[in-house]
Amino acid sequence: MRFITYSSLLLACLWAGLCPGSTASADVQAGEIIDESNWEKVEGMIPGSVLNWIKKGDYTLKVDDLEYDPKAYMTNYDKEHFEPNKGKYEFDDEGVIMEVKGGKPADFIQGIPFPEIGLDDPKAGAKIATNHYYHTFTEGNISFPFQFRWVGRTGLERSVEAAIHQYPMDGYPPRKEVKNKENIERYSILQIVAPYDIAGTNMLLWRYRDARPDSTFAYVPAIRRVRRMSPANRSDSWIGADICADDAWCIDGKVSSFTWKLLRKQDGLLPYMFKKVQPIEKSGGEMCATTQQTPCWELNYETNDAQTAPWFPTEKNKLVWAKRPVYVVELKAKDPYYNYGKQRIWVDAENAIVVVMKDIYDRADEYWKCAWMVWSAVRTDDGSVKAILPGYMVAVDERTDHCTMLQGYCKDYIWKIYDDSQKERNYSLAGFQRLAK
Amino acid sequence: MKSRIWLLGAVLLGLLLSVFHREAQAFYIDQKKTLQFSAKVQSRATFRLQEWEGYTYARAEVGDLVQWRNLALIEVNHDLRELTNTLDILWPLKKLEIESRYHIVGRFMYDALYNVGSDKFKYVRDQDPENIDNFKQAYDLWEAYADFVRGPLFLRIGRQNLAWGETDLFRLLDGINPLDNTFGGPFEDLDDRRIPLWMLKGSCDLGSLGPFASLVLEGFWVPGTWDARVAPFAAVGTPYSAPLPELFFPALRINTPAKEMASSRWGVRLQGMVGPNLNWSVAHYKTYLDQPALRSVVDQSKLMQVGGNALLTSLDALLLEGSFPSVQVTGGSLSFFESFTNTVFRGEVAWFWDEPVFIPEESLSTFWGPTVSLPPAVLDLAAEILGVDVRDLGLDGLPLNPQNGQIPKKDILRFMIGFDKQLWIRPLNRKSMFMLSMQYFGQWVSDYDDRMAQPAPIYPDLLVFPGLKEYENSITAILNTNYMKGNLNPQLALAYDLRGAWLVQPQVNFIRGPFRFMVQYSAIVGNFTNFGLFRDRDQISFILTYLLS
Repeated sequence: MRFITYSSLLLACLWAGLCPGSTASADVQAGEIIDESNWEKVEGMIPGSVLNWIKKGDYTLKVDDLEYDPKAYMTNYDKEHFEPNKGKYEFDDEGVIMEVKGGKPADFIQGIPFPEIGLDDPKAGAKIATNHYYHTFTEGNISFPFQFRWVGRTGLERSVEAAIHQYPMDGYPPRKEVKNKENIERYSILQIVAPYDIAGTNMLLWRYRDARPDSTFAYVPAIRRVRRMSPANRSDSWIGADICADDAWCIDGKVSSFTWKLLRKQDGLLPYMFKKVQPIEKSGGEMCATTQQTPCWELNYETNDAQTAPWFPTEKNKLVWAKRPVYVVELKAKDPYYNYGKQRIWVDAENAIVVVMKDIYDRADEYWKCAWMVWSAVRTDDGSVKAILPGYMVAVDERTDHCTMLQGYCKDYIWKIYDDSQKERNYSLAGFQRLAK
Repeated sequence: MKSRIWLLGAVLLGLLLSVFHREAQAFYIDQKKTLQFSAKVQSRATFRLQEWEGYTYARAEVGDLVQWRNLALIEVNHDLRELTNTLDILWPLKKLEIESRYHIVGRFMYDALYNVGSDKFKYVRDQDPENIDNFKQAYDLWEAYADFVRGPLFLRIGRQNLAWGETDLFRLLDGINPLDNTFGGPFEDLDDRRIPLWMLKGSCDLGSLGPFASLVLEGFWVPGTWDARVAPFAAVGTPYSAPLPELFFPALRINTPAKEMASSRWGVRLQGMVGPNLNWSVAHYKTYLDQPALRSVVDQSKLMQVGGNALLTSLDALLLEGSFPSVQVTGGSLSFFESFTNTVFRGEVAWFWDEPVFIPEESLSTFWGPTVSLPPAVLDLAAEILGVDVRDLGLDGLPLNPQNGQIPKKDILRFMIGFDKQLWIRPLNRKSMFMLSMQYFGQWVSDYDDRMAQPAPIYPDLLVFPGLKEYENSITAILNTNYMKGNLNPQLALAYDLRGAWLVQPQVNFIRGPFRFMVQYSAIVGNFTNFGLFRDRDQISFILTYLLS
């Protein structure tokens, strides 16, 4: 027994030492504040980008324990199909999910397809990313209004208010009986609501379950028509923001258009919005909505006495950095014209496998940007519905010292999951054209 | 009354300006965010960079203000789905499971040119105060429609715009709404020129059928008794009016379609997809073109009767009439994403049935008929008395038994092929892609008549017009990108008519909080053909916009 323990320890040390990018992690305690005076304590537990901010005094990090077990906040559909899906699916060479038994393209998938991740599996990275997407599918139709803010060192520059609507055709068990002739994985629509000059601009995405590239359409009020768009521009800055379309949810690119590599699994510190679980309310049928009890984030630029970078939350809204098991995955686009080089994502290894942080390198492999998607657990009063939602995103371009942040769900932006008011017809071309002015 | 409405509008705008803050946050009346208000105010000042030439009137010179257009739009969007469940009066919608919403845009426009511009334009206003005062200001319900959705059916009723097809800049299948070319001519953004019409529009989502997916059948109807408006004709002397000899001004009459059912516009379209990458549509519609068909008209009662014949001896008997015969258009469009080049290709073809064309010998046949020749000395005397030398009109005497001109019609085929390509040009911009959009437009006249021409005489002649060839071609290109985190947006637009006319329009838009500041330079160089008719109108515009949400 002792031999096994020592052997495991030795192997773990070897693993930590041999894996590229892996660093030994220091230990930290709940309640500790990490700033430029003691940053060494979290070295290796957070991405290099975050560590650099702490070193520079742009950010202080508060380590704390969550008052809940994030693992318990996978959706019911995640949990129900967690065991049955073990070993059931595999990728083919094109990145299409196949059924292990029979070797055919997977029929309807319920829940996340890859509950077990083998550390030595060459396709582990792609499986982690796929789980990340399918986790959002198990929240059914979603409707998330939000605000993007452009923030520089001098404060707020401009903002855009929008909403994303998603309609999964896979992963969400109630869709199992729905005809899916076009083999759609999910539909989504991005609607811009303000400012006036771009309000009414809408984008429609059809992502396929097979290797076909996405179909994307845009309605631009200035031309009053729905136009087909090239899916090849997903690494282009989104109307000048520090993020691109593929940065939504931290990652939103089609899995088969990247190469993936799991670098390591380790203990890390991941940010959460709140120490406590936030309430959601049932609002007819299966639909649940966030409530007005959740405050919106106050950011440093909105106060006069902030000591850290203007785009981070103030002391009042300090993020909770909790110790979590983490996958670190590297991805690289197959498209030679993609605007990013490698990207490294930090993924919660237990909590429904959501991507939380990302370091982005340029095409010359020089570090360029980072992004966080900070999540929060939510539940209904009776505990019948639980979920984990992203609520605050920050993307910082280190070269221009500039940030685009997303104000997600809070009292001003009520988010809905299992939104049964949405219909598949809304995502057809005819449905999309109805949104046109 | 008008001034009171203006005052009310100004007060309302002032209040809105003071209430709204600088974040782009949609402004909702209700907690559930179903009733949204938004607004913008814009001021556009344009200066001429070129001296007038030929028949251009008024005689604007370099540096003259030619436009100071002030615009305010207030928009309301109300989603009625929540109210449908709670408001008794909407019970029928609930019972029938109809989702609904409405949209209203109020527009206030005032062009200060005729009050603060140069004397040339004040003079133009003084010559025709009622017309110009109507022209320079407007306050109206610009858009107002309600949407109803039930299952696959969709109906939109009210004043609205509708654009079909795939073309930018020039319109083929997109000829449903009239364009207002009076305030910026070819330099103005196409969408800003659209005039909404009171219309019924419906669509039915047909789903998939055989190899076709996403089939949608769509139709519209603009009852002529509701709305028979056509593109307005720029008042004589205004900065974007067509170059016409002053001699024509008193004789010019524009007749618009009567407000009757026969003047209705209507159309149907079927669209769909083949595979994931090809979108297509076929359409047929009836509309009115933006340019009136011109012809000469003779008032027979004012002719001099001489021995059983009638002689045209007075210009009072002669009119230059512009009218708007309806046109039917049949065509189709497609767009296709090609993954190897990552390019979206677009194409469109449209057959214009019986389109009015201009053939001087027929349209102005009054001047091509028999004449009673007069000796040069008499013609000299007549020129002195009338102020017009009929020899300039190609006549050597007085028209004998003059007849009205005709409106000849031809079938015309127009087509476009183009592409949209987003590309990285990293030496110029490492952060954002460039959007390049190019289009080739072609036109072919069936049963071509080599006398066909464009209805604008070439200075200094009165009856010599630029010709229209059997095949006409032009190319357009737009290139844009963004810098400074999207706050600086340069764009270059080009159009080239293969007969030698260029339109060049670089612009840059700067965003700062709720403000948008744009500088746009517009120039046309080359031959007097197509948009080259405006080749003496080079200009620079400064546009300041404030967004209230």
